Amino acid sequence: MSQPLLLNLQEGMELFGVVKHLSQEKINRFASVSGGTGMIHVDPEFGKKTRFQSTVAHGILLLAYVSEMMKNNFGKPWFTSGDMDIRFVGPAKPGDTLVARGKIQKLNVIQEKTQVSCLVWIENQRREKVVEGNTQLILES
Amino acid sequence: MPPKIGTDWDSWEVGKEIDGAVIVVTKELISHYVQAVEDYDPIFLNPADGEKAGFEGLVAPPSFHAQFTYMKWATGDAGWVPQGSVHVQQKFRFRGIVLEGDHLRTKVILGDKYEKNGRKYIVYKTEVTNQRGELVSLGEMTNILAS
Repeated sequence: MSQPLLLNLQEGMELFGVVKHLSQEKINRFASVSGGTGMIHVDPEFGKKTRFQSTVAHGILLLAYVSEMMKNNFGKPWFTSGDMDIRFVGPAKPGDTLVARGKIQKLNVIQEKTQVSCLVWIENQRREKVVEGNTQLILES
Repeated sequence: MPPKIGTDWDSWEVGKEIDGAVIVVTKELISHYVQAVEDYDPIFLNPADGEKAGFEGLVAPPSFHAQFTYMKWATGDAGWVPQGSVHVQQKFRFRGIVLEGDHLRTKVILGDKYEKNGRKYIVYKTEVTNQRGELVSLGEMTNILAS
């Protein structure tokens, strides 16, 4: 992260995305690190009996992908002024290829600062959204 | 340990502190988290790269502490909620940088509980501060309880 990816910000500008290939192994690794060992995440037999008919990734893992995208695009200010309001609207399952995407919705300049508001989402290989929401941060001019 | 919400719905008081912990941020914890979320940005791996990017050493991802404020207690055998509960919404306000060596104090309270369309919802609120008492983040997690 030597430099933020986005420069010369404009409303409507698309963010540089983040691609992740999900697997049961990766979900298990996150469960092990985080302690989030709910059966819906780590037990495929349990997952088959749920309405998702599969295990699913942790919401907190998906949130990390959105946060990574924001960090890549905007750099250090994301660490100290980042806001996320995220809804988990679909299951992210082992085997899915997920792409975190976003675009700048509004730029609001107040004195020496710019408030950046973005629409963000994660979609799978069928372009179905599994996450959608809003993010915001403050850039010093 | 507090009773599980799903089995003791009525006794849970909104506003009551559920749990908390102090976590010492180590290079190993950051490294394990980075591997789990696959964000191999050098600033999370090498203190020198962190400093080059304007941080005061090895830095943790902003979402790093989410694992400690929710995951260890939210689900699993020692969890508050029944197996099969679904995380539907999450808010975060990142307000402070987390560096190797920091001591993070996490506080979790039951922010709300309500029923809607026959489903039971619970909302956890979290606050994370560092060893200087500075705010690191605020969070809000909404779950639908498995019936």
